[in-house]
Amino acid sequence: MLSYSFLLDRLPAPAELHGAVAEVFGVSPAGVYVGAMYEDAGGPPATVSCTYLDLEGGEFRWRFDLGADDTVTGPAEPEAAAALCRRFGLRALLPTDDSDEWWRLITADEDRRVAVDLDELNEDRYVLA
Amino acid sequence: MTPKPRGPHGNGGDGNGGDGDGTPGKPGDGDGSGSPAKKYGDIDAGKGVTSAHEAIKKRADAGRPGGADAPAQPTVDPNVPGPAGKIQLRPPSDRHQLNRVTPKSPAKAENTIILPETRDAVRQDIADIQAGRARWDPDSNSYVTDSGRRYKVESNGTVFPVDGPGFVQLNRSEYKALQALIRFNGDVDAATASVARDPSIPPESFDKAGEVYQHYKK
Repeated sequence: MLSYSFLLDRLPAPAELHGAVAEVFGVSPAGVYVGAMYEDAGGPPATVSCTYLDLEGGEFRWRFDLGADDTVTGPAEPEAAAALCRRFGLRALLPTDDSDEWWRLITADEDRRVAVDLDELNEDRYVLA
Repeated sequence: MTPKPRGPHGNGGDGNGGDGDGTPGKPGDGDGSGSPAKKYGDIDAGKGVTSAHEAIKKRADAGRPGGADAPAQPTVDPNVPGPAGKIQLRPPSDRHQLNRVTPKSPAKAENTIILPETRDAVRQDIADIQAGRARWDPDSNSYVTDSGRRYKVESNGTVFPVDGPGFVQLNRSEYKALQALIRFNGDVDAATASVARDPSIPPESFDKAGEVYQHYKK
């Protein structure tokens, strides 16, 4: 079971995301669910779920979660984020486990640790320091 | 154990000072008209507007880490080992305070939650660390207090809770389940349905999340 959660600076059109997620995880588009976070009306689990939430501010204003069942073995979170960044020209911000300040910035061209503004973080806004 | 389902609006307050005695006020209460002044928790309207505002602010700050009731923060002492000897410490990010968790924070692989009943102890821990009354472990870049709680320190002095009594570790699925419970005010059925299509949040994720939710807004 894969469970990813990171931030994007921009949200691609859901229909485009649907195809891209299927391609990145190598599953049939019929097994992919794309929708707003916490607005799932119920139903059987998808093979890959892709949900998003508008944080209404900050440099990275979209929370973006991916979840996959046990039939899906990859890619890992950074590689999945990088594939979406390349496909849509996005910037992604991935959390690290041992710090609220240091995150992993992934773009089509780079992958590096960056610091976020901790005061903004308390307001659920993700802004690079 | 899963929390008892509640209605979608069963937990209205935001915990920022609105948890007084629940007595609604009326226009004119305590306004010098000769009737006894109304008391709202520890806010005595008979003591004047300024006093009431100060009391309200104190109560609001008390809900925040490092608020009005926080122990006096010692000054930076360069003899204290580790970052506490170089910088003024700040309370942990809101994402760790159970009463301030929102559905907006991305879930990490491991998420440390501070239970509300440990909030005051964390304030004391921070004061103890700043004063040099905690053990600095250079190998893990963390402090361990007498309470057994372990903390790291970010570059701006913000304390990062790691583990110990009163802290709960949630994995990514459990943290997402907790966020869904918070989003739906503890309504387990609504929360579960809202993530039903996500295979990474199986129903059993709500077991531990539900136990933690029992402490929410307490």
